[in-house]
Amino acid sequence: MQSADPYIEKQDLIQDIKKPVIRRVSIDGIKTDATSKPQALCFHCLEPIPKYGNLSAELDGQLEPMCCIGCKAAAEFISQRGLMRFYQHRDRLDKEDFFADVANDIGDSRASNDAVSEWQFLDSPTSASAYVDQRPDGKREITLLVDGLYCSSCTWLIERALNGLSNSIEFQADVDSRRVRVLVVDPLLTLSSIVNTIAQLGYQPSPCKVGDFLSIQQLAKQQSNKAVKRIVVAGFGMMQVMSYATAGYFANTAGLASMHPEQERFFLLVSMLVATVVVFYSGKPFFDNALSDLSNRHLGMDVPVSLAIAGAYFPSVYIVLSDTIVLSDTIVLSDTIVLSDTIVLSGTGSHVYFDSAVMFVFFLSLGRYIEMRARHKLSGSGRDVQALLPSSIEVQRTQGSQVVPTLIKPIDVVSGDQIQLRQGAIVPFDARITGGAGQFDESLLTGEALAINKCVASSVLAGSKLLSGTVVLESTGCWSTSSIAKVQNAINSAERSSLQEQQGSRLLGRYFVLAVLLLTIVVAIVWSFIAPERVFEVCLAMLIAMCPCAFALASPVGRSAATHSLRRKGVLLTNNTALNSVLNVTRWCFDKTGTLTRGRPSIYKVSLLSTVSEDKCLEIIACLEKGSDHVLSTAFNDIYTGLTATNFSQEIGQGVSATVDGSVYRVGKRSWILEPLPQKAQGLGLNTMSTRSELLLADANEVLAIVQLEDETRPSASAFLSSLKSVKSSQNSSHDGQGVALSLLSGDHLASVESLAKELAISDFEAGLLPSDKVGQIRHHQDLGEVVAMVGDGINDAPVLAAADLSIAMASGSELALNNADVVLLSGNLNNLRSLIATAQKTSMITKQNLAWALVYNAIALPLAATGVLTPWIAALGMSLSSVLVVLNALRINYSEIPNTTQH
Amino acid sequence: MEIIYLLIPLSLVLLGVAIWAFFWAIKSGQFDDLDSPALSILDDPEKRHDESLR
Repeated sequence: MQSADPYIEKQDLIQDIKKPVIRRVSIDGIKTDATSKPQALCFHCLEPIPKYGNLSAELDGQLEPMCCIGCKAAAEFISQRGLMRFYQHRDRLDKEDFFADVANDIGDSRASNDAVSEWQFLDSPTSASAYVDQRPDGKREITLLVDGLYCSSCTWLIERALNGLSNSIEFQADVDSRRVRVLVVDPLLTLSSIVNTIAQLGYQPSPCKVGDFLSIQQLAKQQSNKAVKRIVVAGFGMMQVMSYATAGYFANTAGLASMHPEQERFFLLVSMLVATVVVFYSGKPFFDNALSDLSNRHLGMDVPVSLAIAGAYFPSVYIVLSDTIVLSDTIVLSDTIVLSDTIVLSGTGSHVYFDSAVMFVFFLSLGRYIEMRARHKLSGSGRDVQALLPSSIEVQRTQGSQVVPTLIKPIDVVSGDQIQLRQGAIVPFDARITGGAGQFDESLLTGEALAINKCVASSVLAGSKLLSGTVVLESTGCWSTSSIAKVQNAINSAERSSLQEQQGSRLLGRYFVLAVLLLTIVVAIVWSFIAPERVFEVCLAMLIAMCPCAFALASPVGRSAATHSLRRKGVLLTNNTALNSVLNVTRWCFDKTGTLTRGRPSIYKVSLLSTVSEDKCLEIIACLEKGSDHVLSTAFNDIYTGLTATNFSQEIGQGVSATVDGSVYRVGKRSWILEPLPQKAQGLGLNTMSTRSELLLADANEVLAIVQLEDETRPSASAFLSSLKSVKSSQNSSHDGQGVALSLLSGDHLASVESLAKELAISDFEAGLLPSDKVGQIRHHQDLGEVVAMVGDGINDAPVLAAADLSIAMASGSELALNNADVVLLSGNLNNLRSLIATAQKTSMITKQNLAWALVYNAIALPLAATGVLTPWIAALGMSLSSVLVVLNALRINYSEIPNTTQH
Repeated sequence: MEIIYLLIPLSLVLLGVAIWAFFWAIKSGQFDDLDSPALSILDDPEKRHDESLR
């Protein structure tokens, strides 16, 4: 840590400050490092200021500390639009929740000035047709997936900023799925300016296609709306029918003989009317499901449910429509004889079960709706691999003898298409370089963090990013043969093996239903000998009492409660079985870059070799690296520099040189720096720390400093891994209860993997692995009977993730990994995995309690119903109560006390 | 007690109106965006535009 405060030191460099007020943001509840002085926090994103950071922004006349240029730009943008109230409005001062990822990610994506042109295709009617819904009335609608949209103040901010463009923008945001829908009325307003405004705020918007995603989202919305309507109808209907039934009960309990027969018949007719609407409108899905189950020769949970609803409803209708008054009187008489103790309570309504039927429909619909909501929320987060690629590209296509520029989608590429790429662009297809040279970041596909230099005749993979240089590419194949399509296929085939599990539980449910139905038949036969007139009543009570609702609810409710609880902590479950799998894991495998490390270089150590101060050296480097696109230059993004470089020149793969304040400086590789200064080589010593990258700064005469850079280990990694070792797997056969095993599988070189493994005390590590080798490793462990969890990041991990029994992806990884992993860590905090394990344990315990309760309830209810003691309405009440109990118990998962995980 | 012949159908009509109103609310998107309207009240009156969130 530097001795002087970096802000104060840099004050004199900032020329145009009217009132230089240094204010340190202090927010209650944010812990600071105990060993150092209290760490300053970025005013915008509330992240701690990096060690060498000294940025600040002038906002409303006050200097506020900023962690990165992205935050600075965003804060200034907000301030310029008079939206400073945003900082008072934001409702969560929790740095983990509050778009921390935005602050981290914008540094690299916002640097380019040609952001507007990136979206310009949205303004051309032809190329935008895939994304823009052009309404007949002239309005245009576009849906954007906005990365970094985390809370309602984000939506507030975006809405205000868009209103600055035009007053006629309609705006809707769904924070859960991070989607924003914008309806533009003004025909002159360009869509690119809208998207660019959102991007300038520091978010990462990407347009969603009109066809594919939107339809899924709309489908989910329609489903959910329909379900809400059904629930409302059932709920209102239930209240009505209950109140009509109460009149009957009350008349009897009050000691009155009975209601007037005409009034009673009137009540029954009204009940029937309401119940008919509820059963046929709200209960339709149950009947539909049951019918389709039966036509597929399969017994689902909906079969007894439908039977019970129909069994309660149709005979009641029959009773009402046949000569009710006489009939109900005789039934009351027969009841008096057979079951004199229940007559007082049941009375006339006892054989008209409209209330039971309606209540049934209501409670079941409610349960289904809650589960559906949870499912929809999760499925909204998927995007496919193509989303990584630019949505449209202009290629030079040879048609006959001439070359014509054609605007195509990457998926329509054919062999021989040519495209010119500028710095910062993504390679849209597998290609060969036919002109120029450049530095490529292939980390999405290969996991290789360091940039690779390529020149004419070398091949590049789709999804790589051109970091510097300009190249002309020629496509080497069509979409189906491309590397990205292959990765996608690999995932698809790796995924198929996990379907068997689901079938198992379905089979169990089927046997349960079959047993219930058979038992009911047996009881019916028995009762037909004892008291034929009560067969129907007993059967109905049996069906209702034995309805496996509590059983059916036990695991889904527990699961959705756990899902919500984890979602709030930044852990996204995308697979139903993930919670169960967590408990069975015996081996945790980790990827290195981006998983156990942050995946972005930072300054580790500065060794000074001259009298020039450390801050001055860093400032010169930052100034020079501003013009560089090398991956390592991102380490200096956060350092403020008031200097300007002239005569800038970049030697790809070697370094940069420029004139600053009249003298020439060079920053770059050791060999390149020492080339003109061979006499200085001895004094430097050797680079012993082979695990770290280094940069040298030199002026014309001497080497000024050596900066060591490292990809920092996540602070949460060590604590998490040591806690993992104490976790006991529920399948301890191979480890004798010694906790789970850890493995480090990395594609990186041995030295860096070894040092990380040592640091984190992982004994089992493998370096230099290709994705296929990683899959092989996982298969190997699986063959030994272990249950393997893989924690990874990046496209190359996707097949590996799919091969593991439990896959966990970091959200900062590519969208593909997010799409296919069972669990996604949104905050990039490994400690959240502890929450996952703790929640999984709690969920498992509560689900077991619920199943036990459902079993006990059924065990008690069965003999009571079979012997005729339990009347259908008591059975219905008991069933509902047992379901409610199950749900309430499951909600306890939300309040579970899980170790606080504020450390990032 | 004859009044129930009037009151109960009346209650059913009211029920129908309530359900219709709810259906209308769903159809007109009242439940589509539950996040941003909550914050619109914090905005300055002169900057308010017609919040026609369909």
